[in-house]
Amino acid sequence: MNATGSRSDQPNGTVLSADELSLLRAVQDRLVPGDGQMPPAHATGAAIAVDTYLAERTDLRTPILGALRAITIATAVHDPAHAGFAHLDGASQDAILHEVEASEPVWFDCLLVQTYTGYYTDPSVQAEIGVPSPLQPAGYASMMQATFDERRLDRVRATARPWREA
Amino acid sequence: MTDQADVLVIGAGASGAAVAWALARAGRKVVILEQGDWIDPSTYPQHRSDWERFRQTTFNRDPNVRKLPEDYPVDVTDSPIDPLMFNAVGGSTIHWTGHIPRFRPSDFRVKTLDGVADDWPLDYWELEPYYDANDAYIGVTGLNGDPSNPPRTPRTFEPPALGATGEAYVRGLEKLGWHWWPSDAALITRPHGTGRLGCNGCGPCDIGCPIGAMSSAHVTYVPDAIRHGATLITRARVRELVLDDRGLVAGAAYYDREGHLQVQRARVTVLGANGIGTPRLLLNSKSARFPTGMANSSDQVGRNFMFHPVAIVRGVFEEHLNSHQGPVGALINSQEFYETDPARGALRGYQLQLVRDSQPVETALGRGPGRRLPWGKGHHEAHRKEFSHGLTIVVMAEDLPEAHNRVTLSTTSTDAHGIPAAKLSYTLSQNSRALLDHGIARATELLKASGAHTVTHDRLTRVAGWHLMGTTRMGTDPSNSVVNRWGRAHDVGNLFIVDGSIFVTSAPVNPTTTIQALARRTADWLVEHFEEVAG
Ligand SMILES: Cc1cc2nc3c(=O)[nH]c(=O)nc-3n(C[C@H](O)[C@H](O)[C@H](O)COP(=O)(O)OP(=O)(O)OC[C@H]3O[C@@H](n4cnc5c(N)ncnc54)[C@H](O)[C@@H]3O)c2cc1C
Ligand code: SF4
Repeated sequence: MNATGSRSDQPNGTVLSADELSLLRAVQDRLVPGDGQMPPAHATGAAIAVDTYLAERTDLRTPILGALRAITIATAVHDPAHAGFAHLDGASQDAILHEVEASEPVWFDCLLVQTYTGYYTDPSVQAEIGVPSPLQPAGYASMMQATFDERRLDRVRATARPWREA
Repeated sequence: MTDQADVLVIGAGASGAAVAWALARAGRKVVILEQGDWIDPSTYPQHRSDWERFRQTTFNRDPNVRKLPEDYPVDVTDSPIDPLMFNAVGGSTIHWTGHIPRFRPSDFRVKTLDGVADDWPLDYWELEPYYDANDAYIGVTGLNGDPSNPPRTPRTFEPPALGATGEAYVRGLEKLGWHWWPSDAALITRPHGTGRLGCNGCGPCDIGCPIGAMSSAHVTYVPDAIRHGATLITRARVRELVLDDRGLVAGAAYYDREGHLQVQRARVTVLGANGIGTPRLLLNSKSARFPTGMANSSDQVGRNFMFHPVAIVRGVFEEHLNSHQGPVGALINSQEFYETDPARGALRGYQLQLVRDSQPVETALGRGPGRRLPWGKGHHEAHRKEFSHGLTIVVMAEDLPEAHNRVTLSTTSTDAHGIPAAKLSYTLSQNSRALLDHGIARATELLKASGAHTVTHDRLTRVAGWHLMGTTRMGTDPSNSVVNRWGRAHDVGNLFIVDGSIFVTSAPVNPTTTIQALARRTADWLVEHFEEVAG
């Protein structure tokens, strides 16, 4: 990923199949929907980010692939027409996610953690919430240049608890 | 077998680097063995947009999470707190937040004043010049004149303005009439030293400072020690110390970068491997003379382990506080509850380290399952209300030494070289519990006085084992201590220890400035007495 643009236009991932990736995008849109200026997850690189994490961290594979599988199974139960999670209405999607959250809390939590991580490390999201992307070299330089007003300490100087001589 | 050094230093962290620098500067031939590598400044996460994800992996503070080849596991099944550290050139100061209050005089006289633990075999005034020299050398930001502490020399740089975050704290502190003072911070606000830039307030110092503004060992003592002629060997993991037939330490056996076993000989060996790494190394150095580990005739190696038990108390405010901006750990320190007050139902005291708050991902994750911000429709609203609207107070209690809190060797796990890992057995004492409970109530009161509409807390924060102390403690009696007042092992005359292991008590403050002052004091003594003690 480069430092300036959103990752949403990047090619498909290496661990997740195209079907898994599109399921993940649909799931993430329920976890982090758009709201005002804040983009929905699918408009960011959150899904590709999770795929990258899966490529780098084998410890994430069981929980995240497990969560996606559990969502697929729960969808099949709720959706005899087999339209797939992405085609259900929002209320049905949320019901499925709540169900998986309750039945597979550890896997679901892992999926949520990595979704939030992918979402809030996307430059487009950082720009919306006012965080430099990346943090360096700019930082928040001006705050370090304003000088401290020592008069603020007048009361403390006058009333401080003494240290014990020893 | 390599050339004999005058001094072998094990560990290039806060203490090892300071002692190596002082001895190299005095003309001694110094070799440093460090199991980690240099961190290339261009690889710090803050240079990337997705920096926050590295908190979960390679820049995590917990070796059991990172699991890098240079890390060693610590078995924490018997500890409610996880020990945190980093294994690289610079050691744990790669991750520290540079909050550097000093001990007070009373911290060296705990037995005399409060009837518990032990007195140190030295006092504050003996250490004071080393505190001052260390501050002046590494570069610190702060304000001298705090009447609640002994006077100190002018700080290198003045603290920045309070900003919205500091103003919110001060609002409450002034209402309550409590002590506060801008934190003494081991960081620079303008360029200082070689290639170090002034802090630009980017925020997450706890994953390392990419511009050298934090006064960590790898940008201060280590490069200077090398300039003075010290040899640093990285990716050199010490397996054990080697004893000669006179009962002196002859050097150390270590695995080099290629995994070959080497021996570095030295006339004096100094350990700076931290409060867990040092006892681990001694316990792994068994011989006919020391069947339970080197320098362990007292059976004190590994015992009396102290953390600073921590409870995090967090307040959420209506106003936007910019609290994700600025060096996260160094803002304001309140020492209102520092000294013993019997009314608290506990001996000794605690500090309130008033710090900044979470970054975007951290905010969403909300410090652990059950605290995640809700997903779905309400998510953004919740994030908007929390992000940069929080203040975090670290209630940091003094821990007292207890023999049963100890580091031993793991019988089930090893590091990548097959060396037994460390096991930590620790229980929180009733005294520490009482101090934390008192601190949680006071921190809550402060946040409310500052205007927080919601205050939450951890009773005991698990991922807060930043400070590792006490496992080879100092003392005058060789039957209940490991080193003498100079950090010299009672049992082995040319073996010295300079890290937090030698602490007798922990005081309620971050330890590193005290660790470095002690290391420099030991170095000065060694320079003067080298021929008397060297093998
Ligand atoms: C996240 C975090 C925040 C912190 N914040 C603060 C703070 O604000 N203020 C403060 O005062 N302190 C803070 N600390 C603590 C501070 O970092 C330590 O007190 C300090 O670094 C300890 O110095 P040391 O030399 O004892 O050990 P370390 O700095 O840990 O260095 C030990 C070195 O020894 C090496 N080593 C160990 N075993 C071997 C071996 N067998 N062979 C070769 N090398 C070995 C390690 O790789 C390591 O580099 C913080 C720590 C962490 C983790
Ligand atoms: S806030 Fe300052 S000291 Fe901390 S990492 Fe950023 S630049 Fe370095």
